[in-house]
Amino acid sequence: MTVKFTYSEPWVTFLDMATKAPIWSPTAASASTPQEFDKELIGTGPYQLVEWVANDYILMESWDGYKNANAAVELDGEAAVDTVRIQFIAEEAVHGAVVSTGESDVAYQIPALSTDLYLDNPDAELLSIGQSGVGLQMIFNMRLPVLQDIRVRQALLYGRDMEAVNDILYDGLYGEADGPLNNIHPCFWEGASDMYQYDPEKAKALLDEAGWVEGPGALRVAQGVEGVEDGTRLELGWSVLHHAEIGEVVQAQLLEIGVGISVEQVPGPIQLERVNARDFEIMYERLRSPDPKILDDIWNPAYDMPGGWAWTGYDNPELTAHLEVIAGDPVWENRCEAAKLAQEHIMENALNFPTLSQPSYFAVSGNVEGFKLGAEGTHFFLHDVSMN
Amino acid sequence: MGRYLVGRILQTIPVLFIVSLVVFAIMRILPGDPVMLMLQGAEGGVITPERLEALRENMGLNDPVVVQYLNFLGGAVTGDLGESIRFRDPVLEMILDRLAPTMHLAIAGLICSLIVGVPLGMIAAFWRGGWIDAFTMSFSYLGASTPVFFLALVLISVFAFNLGWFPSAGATGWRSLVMPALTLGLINAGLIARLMRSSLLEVLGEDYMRTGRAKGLPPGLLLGRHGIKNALIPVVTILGLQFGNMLAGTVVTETVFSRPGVGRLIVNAILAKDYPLIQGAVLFLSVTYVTANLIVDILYAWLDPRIRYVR
Amino acid sequence: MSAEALSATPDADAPRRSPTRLAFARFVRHRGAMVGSVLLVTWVILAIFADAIAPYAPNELVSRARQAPSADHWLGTDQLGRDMLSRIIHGARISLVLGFVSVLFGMIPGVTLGLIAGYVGGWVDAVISRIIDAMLAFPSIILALIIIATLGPGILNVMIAVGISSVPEYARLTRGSVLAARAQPYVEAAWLVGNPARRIMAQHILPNTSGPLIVFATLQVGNAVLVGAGLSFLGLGAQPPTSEWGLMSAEGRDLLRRAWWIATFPGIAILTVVIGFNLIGDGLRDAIDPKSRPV
Repeated sequence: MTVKFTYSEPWVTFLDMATKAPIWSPTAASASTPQEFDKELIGTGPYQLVEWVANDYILMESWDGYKNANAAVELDGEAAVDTVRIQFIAEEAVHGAVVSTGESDVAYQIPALSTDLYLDNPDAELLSIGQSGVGLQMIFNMRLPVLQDIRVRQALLYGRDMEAVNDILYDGLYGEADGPLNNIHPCFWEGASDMYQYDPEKAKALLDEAGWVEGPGALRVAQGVEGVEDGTRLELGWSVLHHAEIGEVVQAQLLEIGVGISVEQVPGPIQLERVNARDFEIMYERLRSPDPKILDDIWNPAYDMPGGWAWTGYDNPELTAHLEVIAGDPVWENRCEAAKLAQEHIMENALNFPTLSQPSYFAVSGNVEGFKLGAEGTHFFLHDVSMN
Repeated sequence: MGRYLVGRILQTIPVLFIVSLVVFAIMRILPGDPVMLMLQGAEGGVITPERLEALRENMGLNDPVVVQYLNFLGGAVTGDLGESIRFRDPVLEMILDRLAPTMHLAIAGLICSLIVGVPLGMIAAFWRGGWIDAFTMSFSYLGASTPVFFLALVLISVFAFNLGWFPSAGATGWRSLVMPALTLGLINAGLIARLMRSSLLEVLGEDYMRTGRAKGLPPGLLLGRHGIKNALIPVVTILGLQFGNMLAGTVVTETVFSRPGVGRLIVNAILAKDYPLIQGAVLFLSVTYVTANLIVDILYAWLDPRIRYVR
Repeated sequence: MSAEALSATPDADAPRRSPTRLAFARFVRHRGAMVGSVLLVTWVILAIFADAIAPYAPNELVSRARQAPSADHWLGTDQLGRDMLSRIIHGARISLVLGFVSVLFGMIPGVTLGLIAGYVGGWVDAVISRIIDAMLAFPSIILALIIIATLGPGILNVMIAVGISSVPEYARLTRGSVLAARAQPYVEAAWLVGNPARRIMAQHILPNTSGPLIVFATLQVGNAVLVGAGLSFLGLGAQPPTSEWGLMSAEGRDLLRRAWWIATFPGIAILTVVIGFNLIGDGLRDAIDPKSRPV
């Protein structure tokens, strides 16, 4: 069967989208409501949905009528394993240990600090793969007077030591994200790694220059800063969905240069609410894709609206020009080149606060054969799996 | 008995009414715009003021507060607790889907606390002043002072990580119930033990017991029907309270043991500011608790006929 | 428990000791109460002199993360590399303040309501009693959860939430005591003679209710510490980098396997503080009314 897609203008990220968006049967979709459709999925591949208990588990059974059409998979036809049970585990420590205790055969995206269980483990294997994207990026609310001075933003970047963060929290297991794209991204701009090396003295000098002088307490206070009342303390909010611990280490590091950040962890809808109300200072924003279009999503002011991803409030025609190439030019090399120019612009203007990149770790029990990871960190294939 | 039953049931009605009022009122005071949250959380895309207004009208948020409350009450009685902001599923359905693990845990915890507490209390009463007595008292202090999450983590550490006897997550099968039930049971068993001990001491000290002992009957036989039954009455009276403690304990226990229950649902709903879900789940748990107390009171009246005639 | 009964000793020649001194004497003899007092005094001293006693600053990354207990770090270091011992000592301050303030937030409105309901009676009493019953219809922590849902996370909000959720119990206790005291003949006599209500309440009723109230309040401080830690554990209370014991436990739970000390020591700290309050509370109960055996 061939499906043909026709667009009025070139859609440069079509292939990237195609890896993520499934094609559902229109008959099945029109026969039920969106909520019900979730529970009676059609077209799930070699395994069909048997049971879904919310917040607990999903049970799937292999379907003997399956005819393979996926080039990535070797086995043709019905899968070798009869049932697959996907169990949700909220406790990180439990999640990480669940293959080593034998409770489970595969653990998906276990915490980095649990990987030691599987390194010298004869009964299990550790697989790891990176995820291309912007990394665990933090963006600035450029509408705020305190963040409008480039020296302040640069000071924040000079004041952080991401290598130390990685060592302290993750035993160095996390990946690097030195710029607006993480280092494993196909269009990563190498120059980002040389900018803003950890230099607290330089950070302090920049802050002094910008009018943020040492105050009576641990934090700096404003003196002659445009738009900020004299005596205001340099305090910024750091809002994340997860990985709050990164914020906590950065908090301690930035305290050394006289900047106070308060870390808060919020759920998704609250994050969006805050963004729409422009009620944030430093906000977590991660998009993942090997396609540089994500830069356009985040940095193009045309998407500054509820439901869009352009949250910073930054609007610069030079940057927007690069982004338009990324979004419109059908030639990959051109897009990648424009992406690098965009990254350079963003870095030179210190528009974001990159932290680290989260790799995906999978623990696979020795009983399992044929478990395969996809090209990008969150996908995997169960079709070829057999148990012994 | 019938008159008592009716009277007792009638008493719960104003209580339930005020409970619903409190739950409703709290949600009105909450900061944040539920409509905005609804549109953001699930749909994406551009949110125009028209869409906001349309949804607001649809949810009845433009009606006067009294009308909103009556709608809420009417809905609650007929089983419509609204729709979750985050999941877009009917709240009642979401609660019912998660009710089983919570009820299993609460009941198993209750049973565990009785299984541990009652015998311990009895032994402490019989060997009063001995080391068992001191042990029971220490045990009950320890239980009442231990944070639920602490015991849960310790149990996971020992039994799941080190020994691997029981699963540390999920709600399938009786094995996954053992550690959570033990957590709640051990913490609350102390109270039961002390209660059992003191009520048994009282019973043993009563006249008819002394007479029986003077006659030469062994205490075990004396204790027989009346003794145990009367000694158990105070334990029965706090069964309702204990059940409430269990329900309260599920909030933390379900989180630590990854059980998909109502307690965990409430916590996540609070973190996500999912107001209809918080409202519905809290209302549901409270009604359950009130019902449980009602049942216990009736049970108590059946056990101790004197209470039926006391106003 | 009547102050009058104790002071009306039949033998006028026997040495008269005030009820308070008698109670104190009994309290001091109570073994459990003494153990509890030692525990609590220790924690209070640690809390007050935390800055001097703690070896490191509680929020400073002083060393490598996740170190096991050692000579340099008696209780190890946490997930960011902060000294556990120092954090626990500073955490005492937070927990004790949380306990006491929560009790105040509950006791003041609760006792007031109970006094009014008990003394005024009539429909005022009926209304207040219904409200109390309704609040008691929520399983304990759930009421605190609703209030936190309204106010948002934070340690002050936890104190308010725990405080308010305990109001019905204070009210009920006070009301009961007031009703019992009102029934006493000397109260009716005072009223007949024309004493103003405030005077009757202050002189006759309040002293009689204070005994059970103090016992209850003491036990409630321990309970408030427990509930507050639980709420912080769930992420609804203290926020990082506060060294609150519940929060520390929550931060340690991901590392339970590799660094058990991060989650365990704060839990033990909570346990000892709460046991202290429970022991003292029971000791007070026995001291004030030796006839009531522990239940």
